[in-house]
Amino acid sequence: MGAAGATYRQPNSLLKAPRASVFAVGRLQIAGSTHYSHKSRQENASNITGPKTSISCEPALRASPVWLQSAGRIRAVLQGGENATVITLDVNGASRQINIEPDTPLLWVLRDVIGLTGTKFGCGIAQCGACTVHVNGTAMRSCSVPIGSLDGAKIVTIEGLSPDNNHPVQRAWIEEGVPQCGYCQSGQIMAVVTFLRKYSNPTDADIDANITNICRCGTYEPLRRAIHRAADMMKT
Amino acid sequence: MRGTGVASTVNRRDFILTAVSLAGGLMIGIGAAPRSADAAAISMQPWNDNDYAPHEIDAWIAIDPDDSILIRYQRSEMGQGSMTALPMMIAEELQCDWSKVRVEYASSNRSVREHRVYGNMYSHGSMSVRESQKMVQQVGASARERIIAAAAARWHVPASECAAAQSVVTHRPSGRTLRYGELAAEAAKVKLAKEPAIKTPAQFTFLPRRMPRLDLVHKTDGSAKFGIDAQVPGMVFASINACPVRGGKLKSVDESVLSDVPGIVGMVKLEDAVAVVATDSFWRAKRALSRLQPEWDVGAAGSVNSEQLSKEFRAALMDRMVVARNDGDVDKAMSGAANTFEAIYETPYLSHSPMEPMNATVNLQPDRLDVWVGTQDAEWALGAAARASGLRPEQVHIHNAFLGGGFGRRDANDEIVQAIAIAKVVKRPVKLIWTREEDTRHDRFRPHAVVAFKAVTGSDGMPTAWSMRIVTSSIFKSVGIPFPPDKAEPPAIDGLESNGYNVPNTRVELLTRNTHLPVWFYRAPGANQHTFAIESFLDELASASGIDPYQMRRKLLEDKPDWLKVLDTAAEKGDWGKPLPKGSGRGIAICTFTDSLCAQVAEVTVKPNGEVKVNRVTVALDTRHMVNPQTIIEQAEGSVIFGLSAALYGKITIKDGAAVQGNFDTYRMVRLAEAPRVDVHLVPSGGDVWGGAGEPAVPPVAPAVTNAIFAATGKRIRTLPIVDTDLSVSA
Repeated sequence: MGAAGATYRQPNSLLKAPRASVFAVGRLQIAGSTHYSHKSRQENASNITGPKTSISCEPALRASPVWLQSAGRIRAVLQGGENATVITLDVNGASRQINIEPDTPLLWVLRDVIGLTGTKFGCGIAQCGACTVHVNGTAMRSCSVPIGSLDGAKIVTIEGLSPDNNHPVQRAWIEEGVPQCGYCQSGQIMAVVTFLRKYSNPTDADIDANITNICRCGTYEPLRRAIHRAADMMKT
Repeated sequence: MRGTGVASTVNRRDFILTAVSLAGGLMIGIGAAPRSADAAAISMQPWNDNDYAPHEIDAWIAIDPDDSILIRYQRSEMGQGSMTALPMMIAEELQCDWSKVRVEYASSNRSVREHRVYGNMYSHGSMSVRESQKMVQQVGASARERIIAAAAARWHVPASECAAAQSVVTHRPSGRTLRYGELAAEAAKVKLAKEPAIKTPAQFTFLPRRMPRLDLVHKTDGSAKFGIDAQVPGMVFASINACPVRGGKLKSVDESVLSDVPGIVGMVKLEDAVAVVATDSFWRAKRALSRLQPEWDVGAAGSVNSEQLSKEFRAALMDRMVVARNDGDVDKAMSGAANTFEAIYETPYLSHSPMEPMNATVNLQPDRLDVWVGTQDAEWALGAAARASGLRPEQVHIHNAFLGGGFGRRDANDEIVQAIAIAKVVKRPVKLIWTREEDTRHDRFRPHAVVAFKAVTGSDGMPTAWSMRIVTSSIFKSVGIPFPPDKAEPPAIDGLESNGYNVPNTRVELLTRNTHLPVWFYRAPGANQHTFAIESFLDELASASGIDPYQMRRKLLEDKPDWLKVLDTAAEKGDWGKPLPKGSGRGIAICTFTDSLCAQVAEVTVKPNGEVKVNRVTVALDTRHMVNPQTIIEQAEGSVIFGLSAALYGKITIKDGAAVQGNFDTYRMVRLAEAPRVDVHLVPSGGDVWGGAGEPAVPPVAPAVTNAIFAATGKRIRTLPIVDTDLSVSA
């Protein structure tokens, strides 16, 4: 396969925040709503039944005042000046100033701008959960959370979950030997951490209903054991 | 990288990057994760930036003065655990202290320059262990003997008076000892008069051993580096859109819509694709790409659809075929037979869909090419990259990473070739990432196949003759493997030709019918679909004859103790024959693949509305020998889930020449709530051959489940996926 031809553009050394013209996706997701919806980006799948639980957005987040403020801020950004697009985040305890298109998903800010690659890209439509991080203490699928909605938010990624890989969920993952290829496991662990905050003594049914991340290697059996093990550890 | 290859100017973007990548550029450092006392270690960044280590005994092993041991691993870690298993085999022979072992990828560049010192470097066909076994054992044994020889020379004693254990050589008569770290430099100079014999499995002292995999820690704290995680200073991001119809060409694309988009490096037109390259984030490239409205020249393939392909494949069942297996005289046995049974089974195209979408990061310079990628074959990738770049193979460096799943997908090199083509144009380091939709639709699919069975049974109800006629596409042709047209290629017949049943008259025939869609190896090629067909059809015969499906299989395998062992184990542990409530049923299936044997019993419940719940799958697996039972169990558990996703939901539909399904909302996977309990029983039977572990537990899942559905409902599923059949009471 050869390059048949190409055109160049000068790389833009200083990013300028685009105005509303490039904000269509962000607007779809945010405007008029206090939480994102992945449905607008789902493809028509009339003949295939999707899994019952596919959205990572937890109820707590939907009611989060920070989120509401952020949504309001996005509207302000749409009408406002360029300076308004500088987003200040706390990522794993460090303050970050992010100056990029506000519809950029948090996932790509973490991976490409900040360089934290433990959070993975799997689907881009909040289906698989490989990109799960904590936003203000709630597990979110970061591929579908625009950065423009996150000013002032506190983000925790897998790299910031514990200083030395000793969070009970991480320890349980190691003791049960959960990962195979390992690609989905950052997201699995982050989802399970917030799940266990709510369900300190989870039943299998609780796990089934709440842990919906995809693992193509099929590590579900040890993963389920590890959730129970972590719950036990956190009790003692 | 030896300090070459990348620009070191710190720009604004680098400033935003974390200290991690700023500190070392590409050298992210060796794993510093917590290690338990008995655990060896692995690099969180598995790719090799230094082809040579300071204290090498040979290309495979380096031992530092402090006794820490570096072992090179020449295959690809995609979850199957061979990055742990192969070093364990070397450690078995080396007689070293496992806790001091650290592992990294072998360099395919060095292999190219040093007469393929690492041999084959691929991971497919469940071959990582079984095909490397002799070679890596020899590597360990040779190093051990050279270390012993170095000690003997130091002491001026015969080597036969010395023994090695736990990284220490002991002179038995005097009790003197020397550590490996003290001997490595001298051992590197030793030339053995002849290579030592390797151990037989009966002589193993370290193996088999259930060990935690070495990559565990890095895969729980985000530090494990996959291809998609490569960070090269000055790198830009590319998003690509290939012609939706395979074989189509890019006709035109209007780039003016990007004129007001900041941060765009350029649009790159390829023969069959268009890519957009942007600074700062992949998202920027992807979003800009979505603004383009390329026009494609798709030709006649643009009218192909699944219904038509199905009709054509079924019609071709009547055509002349190549005979793959012919025992006895099927025609004679069938003529005038009283009880004749016929059925046609069909399995669809499937996408591999590993969790990590295809990606490659390349840094192309006039005299050197670096590629960061997760590949199932670093040597093949090197060749493809050399051809695509025009550089010589020894100028190409493949930095293999952890693979976010492979399943056969990660050895086509298409993402590498695209990334190089883009880098040629933009003249900067480029990270190309496929979206999930691109990954699904531009996969090289598991072939679509149709199998027609005909069988006759004797007065005892047992089959006396059967014929299997297959129409499917040629994987060898897609891959480019030359094969005589008058022979049946193995991946097209595996699972049927390889069946172990003693039916005196057996004929297996094949017709390859190729379409515009390339097809590819997909975990347990051939067997992953044909086992569904034959194990279901056999169930039909058992049902028609009023014979228990397990007992019919037992009778047909009665002269094969190893087959019976796995079959009996699965039946016994899977509670075969025990009562179940109405609406539930059990199914059984067995296969051989990669010299291993696997039998499974599935227990399902079908609700009145037709919803299928697989409650439990019992697996009996005979891999002949074992290195690390831990990872074999993992592979069996994972294979069941992998096979179940395909059986329940898996289907790529072709419409107007293009794949319809794009993402996990339409190409559905089993999730935790749908995952059955999986019980794995390992029953290694020994012998001269070693069996594979990564694939043989995939094929039996689908028929075990569909046979269980039949037991529960009386409904026979002959076409996958299961979700396409209405199993509700009213249907």
